[in-house]
Amino acid sequence: MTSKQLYWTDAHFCGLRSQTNVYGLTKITSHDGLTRLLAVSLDGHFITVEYQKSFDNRLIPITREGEFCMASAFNDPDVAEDFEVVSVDMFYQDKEKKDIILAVTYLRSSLAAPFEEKAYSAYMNIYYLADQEGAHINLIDAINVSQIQNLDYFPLQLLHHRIKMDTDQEETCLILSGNDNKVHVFRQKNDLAEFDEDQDMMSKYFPEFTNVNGCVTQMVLKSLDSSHRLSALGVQSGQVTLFLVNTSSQQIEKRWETDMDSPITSIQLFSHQVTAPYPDFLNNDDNSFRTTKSPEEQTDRSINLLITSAIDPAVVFCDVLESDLSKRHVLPLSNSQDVVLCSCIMDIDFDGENEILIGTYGQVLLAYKLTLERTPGMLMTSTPFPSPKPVPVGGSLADLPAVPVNDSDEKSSSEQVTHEKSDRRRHKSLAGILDSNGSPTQHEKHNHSRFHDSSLLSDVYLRDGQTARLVRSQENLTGCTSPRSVYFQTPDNSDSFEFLPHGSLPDHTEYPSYRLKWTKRFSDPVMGLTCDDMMRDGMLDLVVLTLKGLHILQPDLNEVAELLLERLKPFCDPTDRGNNVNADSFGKEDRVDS
Amino acid sequence: MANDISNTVMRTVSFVERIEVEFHGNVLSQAMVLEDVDNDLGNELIVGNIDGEISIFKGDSQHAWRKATICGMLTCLGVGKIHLPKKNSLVCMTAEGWCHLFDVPSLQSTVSISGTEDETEGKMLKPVFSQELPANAKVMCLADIDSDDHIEMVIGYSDRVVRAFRWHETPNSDTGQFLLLQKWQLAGQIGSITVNYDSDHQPELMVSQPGATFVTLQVKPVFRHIKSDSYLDRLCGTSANIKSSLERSESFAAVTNTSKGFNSPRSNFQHSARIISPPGHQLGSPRRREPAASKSDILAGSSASRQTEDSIPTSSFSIGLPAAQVEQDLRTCKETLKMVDLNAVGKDRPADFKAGSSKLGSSSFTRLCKSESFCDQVEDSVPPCFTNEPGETDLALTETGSPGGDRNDPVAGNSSGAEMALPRLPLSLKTSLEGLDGDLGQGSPLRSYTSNSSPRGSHESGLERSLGRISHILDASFEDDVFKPSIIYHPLAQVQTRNKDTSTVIVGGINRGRPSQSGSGEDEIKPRSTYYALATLDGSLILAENDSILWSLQVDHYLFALSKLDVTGNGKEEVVCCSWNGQTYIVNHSKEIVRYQFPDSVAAFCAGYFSLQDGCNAPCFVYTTFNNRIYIYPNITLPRVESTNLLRVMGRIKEGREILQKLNIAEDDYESIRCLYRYCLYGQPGKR
Repeated sequence: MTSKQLYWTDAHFCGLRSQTNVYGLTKITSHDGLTRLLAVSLDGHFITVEYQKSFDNRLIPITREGEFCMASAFNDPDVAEDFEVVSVDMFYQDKEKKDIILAVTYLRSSLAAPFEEKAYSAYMNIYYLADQEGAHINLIDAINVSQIQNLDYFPLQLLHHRIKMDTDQEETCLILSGNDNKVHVFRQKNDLAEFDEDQDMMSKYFPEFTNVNGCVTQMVLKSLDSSHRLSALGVQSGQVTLFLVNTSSQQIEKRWETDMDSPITSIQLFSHQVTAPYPDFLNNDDNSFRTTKSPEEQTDRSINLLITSAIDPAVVFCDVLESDLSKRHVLPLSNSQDVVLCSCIMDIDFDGENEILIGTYGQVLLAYKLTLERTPGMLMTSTPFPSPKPVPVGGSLADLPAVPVNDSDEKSSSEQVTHEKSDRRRHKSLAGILDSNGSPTQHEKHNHSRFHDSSLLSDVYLRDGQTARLVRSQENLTGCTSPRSVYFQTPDNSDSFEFLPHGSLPDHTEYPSYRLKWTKRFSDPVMGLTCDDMMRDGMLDLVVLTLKGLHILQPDLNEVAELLLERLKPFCDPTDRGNNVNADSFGKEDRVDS
Repeated sequence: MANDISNTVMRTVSFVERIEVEFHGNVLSQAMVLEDVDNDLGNELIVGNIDGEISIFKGDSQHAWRKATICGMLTCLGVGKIHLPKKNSLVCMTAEGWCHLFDVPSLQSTVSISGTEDETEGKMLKPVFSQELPANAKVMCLADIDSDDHIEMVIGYSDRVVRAFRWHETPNSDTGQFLLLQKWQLAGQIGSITVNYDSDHQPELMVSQPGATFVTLQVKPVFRHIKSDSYLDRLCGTSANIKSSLERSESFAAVTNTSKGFNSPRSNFQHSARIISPPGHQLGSPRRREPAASKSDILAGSSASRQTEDSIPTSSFSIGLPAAQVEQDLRTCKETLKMVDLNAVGKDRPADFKAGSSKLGSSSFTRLCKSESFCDQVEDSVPPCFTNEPGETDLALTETGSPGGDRNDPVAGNSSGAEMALPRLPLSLKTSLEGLDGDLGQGSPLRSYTSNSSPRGSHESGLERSLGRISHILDASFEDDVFKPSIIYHPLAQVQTRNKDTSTVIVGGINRGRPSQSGSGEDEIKPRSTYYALATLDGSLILAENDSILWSLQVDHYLFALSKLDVTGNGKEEVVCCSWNGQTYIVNHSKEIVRYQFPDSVAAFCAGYFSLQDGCNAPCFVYTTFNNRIYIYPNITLPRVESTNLLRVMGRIKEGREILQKLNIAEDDYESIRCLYRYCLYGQPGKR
């Protein structure tokens, strides 16, 4: 059960011509498993990245660059136009995955107009492309089969969702949020028709979109089963509303609401455990292995909600369906690296449990793991192996104490809002202490509602030298005219933590809680995160969109191969298999106990 | 636009962690090194600008750890155990010809740096030694070019000359000086100098030439084997007037030869007389084989050197002599050698024999120098097209030399003294610090003499043969070295290059890593030849071994800096090449490429190891920009160079293939394997 460190390093990087934004990344996976990424820069250029086999059977990343030729779509191409791409989405129109639909929203204005008088008008272009193996996304050819939609609002997030119609037919529709405090749904009347906004359909199939009170910056729709959907909408004011929608009756079954203090930057609905289908071809002789596993796969049906907002720490609400929004976990130090811009759910250490990855404007990727009990650990840094500077973190240091909020379950749901507000203040003071980098007495000045809090904070401040350093390095970056993007341990820091005996202060963290597991720095602010099997090897690769380019990250494959061999052995050797199953079940029991 | 296509399929990475330090002025790539200058096992970055300001950056500090200022335009920096055994020193060369040595004490001996006036004084380094060498130094290479365990300083000049210097410690004093070992005149501009190792792990000195070509410079055996100080003493005189001694040793070759007349019979006579006289003198000298004899060796040497000095102005044996005179001289020479032989045979004592031959060697060295300078003259005067082909002429020379080798056995059979000496001699080839070897080495000038002079005329081949015979008697195993030409031209990729004049840089000694097949212990010990790489400004990058191109690459960037660095940590050194616009290529031996785009124009680039923690070196890139900033990327380790996926990695593991076989999954059934792997990695919660 020892968790081995896996360092994720760049498998590939490709730069963008100009900067991108948080809505600038989309991906598509073809019927044969080829994943293609598309990242768009604000000026209308885009890159597509995919991995293919070269003629000499090497795996090569293929990067292609293209441009949305919006100007030609209009009647007067002579007039210089100023474009700004807002969001992009790409999906297959049909289940057979033949035709790609690429939608891009953008603003345009005349370049000649002075800045103050610039009147932007918003558009959405939809391109209908045929998916050819290894073919370039050729928008010049697609111009004839494109559609230009005028929007009378500024577009924000663009996504697609597959819904089941009354007639039991399935249909993919485009969902676009706008600054008119509405969510717009576009659908095709039939396969060949253009996308049109359909108010009736929206109110019928998306009852959660009917009454939005704010400009929706983030939305997530997740189908739970054939008749239920979980939708989360985050608005600019910081409010997040979660709906459980019955897709058969088109009724909202449940509705939750929580409030953050700043615009919502990302929302994720995820389950704690990862599932992967058991390969059918292994079922040839006996199903013992399978049957022992299957209940476990079934058990974890809980859905967790991750909310990141601009300045507050990221928050996870565990098992929202059963326990509403009461099981709340704060991701410690998630707001210490500037604005959180994006998040991703992925199992980065192959233990079958999802980690939370958070990308910040401070050019840092933070990975959090739910830990059930206090364990000595090591904070991984972005330095790849063999690290010249491994940052050993003692038992107490690894446990970056989170603000415990589990006591909130004492409160009734009516008190929930006020309670959360107090929580929020506490988070801010935590951030304040870490940012201030002051003397230990400084935190005494903070006014805390409970004694519990102040002791906790001193604990945080004094015992977590590592994280404080991280924070300070960030300050150095912003404050110094000649910034150094790398920050390493300095003697004064190590002194301060030697000075404090290990474990002398009580750890008020209540487990389980999320712990910072891994950090990685990038050269630019992290704008988007996603994961997919880019290399087509069964392993998920991490895709990071930074302001200036697209990274594809891979762990050290030798170590993964080692792990894989270890796990493959039981399949070959039945005796091993039995032991393994036993060991597994023991592990399971232990976890239940804790 | 061909590059555009390759760009779309080339792997790129982005390095993030970097240290930005401020350093003003123009920096040349040669004036930036990553070495352990303070002998604390951790590497530092040493940078100098053309105004002569040198800064040493250590660890992750933004400020210079040590500084130094020298006069003149600093062109090259080097770090090596140049003048103290087992202790690295900093060597600075200026374009004006001044060579400064710095010894940088480690951190322990100094107070902590916190920026007060006194301490900034303490940060300044003072050179421990300065010497004026020939001007126009352009590139420098500190390496052991003759496998004698001593670092030589090889300097390439902007006037197409390469000179090799060795530190010579003045007896009974702390100091010493650089002495010229050898000089080569090349046809084209020198891009860089490097050392490559052949299959016997013998160093080869390589100098890049325009148009993706290079020359290998042969180190004369005399230098390869002379160990005792006596030789050097003889060469340059005793410890007095150190300053001028270098000039003397230079003029020793060049000036005396040109200013004095060659053809005086008197000088000839004196010359031969001098040859004859030493044996008697030397006979009385103690046996050198004993280690304790080194002192007396020096004494004997210094006395001999005085003698040499005296004789220099008058003795001017030269290749330019008329044929008859050469013949005559030859005869004298032969006689001398016979005498020596007789001496040896008569006394039946190898030591005496050696003493005689060593003396002979010293005298013949003067001729060697002259012949060398003569070569220089010739090469200076002939158009470059001639000097471009020394390989051919020299190859011919090698053939003429080989009959001498054939005749070796009968000749050796004739001389009983030589026979007695023979069993001992081959030892000298590799282990060389014994007195015996030193003596043997002093015998070898004869051979280098022959090799140098032989192409000048047919009559000289007689000389060469006769001397060659003697040298073969002296050491039969030397015959290969004897006839090696001093410059071999390798038109490696000349055909391919677009521009024959494009400037080229070379880096050699690229480690191939351990042999994949782990054979017996003998195999592992056996060193393998190293690769070398060339890069041209017009974008060719070539990896070669033994004149055969392993791969070549054409990019659309101006490649100006070339290094080798083991980026992946697998023991194989990758070729690292940087272009002016910051595009950096890391290419492994199977031509798999990783790029990194440094986001600025690059003035100078170097790759090597840098230490953030004491004694812990990590692969590192250093970029100097044009806006007074140096960026150090302290750890750029990559897991691998090529793009790969789990299927391939597992496919290379035997165990992985076996498991697939057991599970009845075909190796090309990627869909099933993918499914299996996915389940193993993600489908088993609670693992680990």
